Amino acid sequence: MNDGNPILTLALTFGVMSLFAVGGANSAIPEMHRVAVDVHHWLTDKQFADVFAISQLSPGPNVLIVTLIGYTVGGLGGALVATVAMCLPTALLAYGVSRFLNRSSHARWPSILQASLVPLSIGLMAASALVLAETSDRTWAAILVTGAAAVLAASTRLNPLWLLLAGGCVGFMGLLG
Amino acid sequence: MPPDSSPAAIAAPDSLAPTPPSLIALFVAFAKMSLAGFGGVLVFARRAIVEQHRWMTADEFNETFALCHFLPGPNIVNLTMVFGSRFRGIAGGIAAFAGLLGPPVVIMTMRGCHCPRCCWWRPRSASPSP
Repeated sequence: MNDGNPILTLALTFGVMSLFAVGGANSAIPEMHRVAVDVHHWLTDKQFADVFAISQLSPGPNVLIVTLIGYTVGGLGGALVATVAMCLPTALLAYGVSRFLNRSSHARWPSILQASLVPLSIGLMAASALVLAETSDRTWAAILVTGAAAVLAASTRLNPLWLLLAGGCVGFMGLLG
Repeated sequence: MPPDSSPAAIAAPDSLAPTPPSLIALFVAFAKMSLAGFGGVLVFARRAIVEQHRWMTADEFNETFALCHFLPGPNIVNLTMVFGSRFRGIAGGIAAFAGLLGPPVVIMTMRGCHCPRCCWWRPRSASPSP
């Protein structure tokens, strides 16, 4: 691709990638790794693991891993371009689709379509939660923490930050192995 | 823990907020959920939109999020544009979008986190570069 202008390459790469990232940013992580490490050699394998960890630990949506990749490639400008390229086109697409669905209010199918997406979306999230739990809960303590967090989050109005804090404390005490 | 934290209070509120949010309110609300959102913003978004501000009913939120989940791109970012524009047109969408992304991007780039070793909160996997 355009090796002369890394910023343009960033914009094109993430702009196109976002259009195929169905199901959210995490589904695009393997593709990001392939493109950033294997194709363009922007980061080493190790650096990619680091920016992934940092983006998970930072506040904000996890898609902001692209901000860190962009920063590595092109400083502040690269960070901004990568973020906008990854986020803006699909956000505008979602805006267009939502407007279209809500404008044709004389027809019943838009609301039927939107309502039918709800159970699908919930199922996908439950499945990914299950997959994550299966791979990371290797001890009884970890399973207990996952279960307690789920029960507390579902049955109380406790601010989730308290759950994160408690989970962090349990982890720091070394109880999760 | 706030005093209203009894399970009985979970029942979805019937009354929505009387006035739609202003552009500044959209920006601030999404900036807050973004900065609270360690590990993901969805939980905090639902809490703020449905329970705190009552800008949407639980059903409306589910339908809006499901659409954003189904479309390509980062779900919660799609949600900012769809949600904000529902109240204040495209300007509202952009206000929410900027609120969600602006503050964490500023934090990330100002902390110099292009270099994990410089961060006091660096992840355990980070080691000195060769």
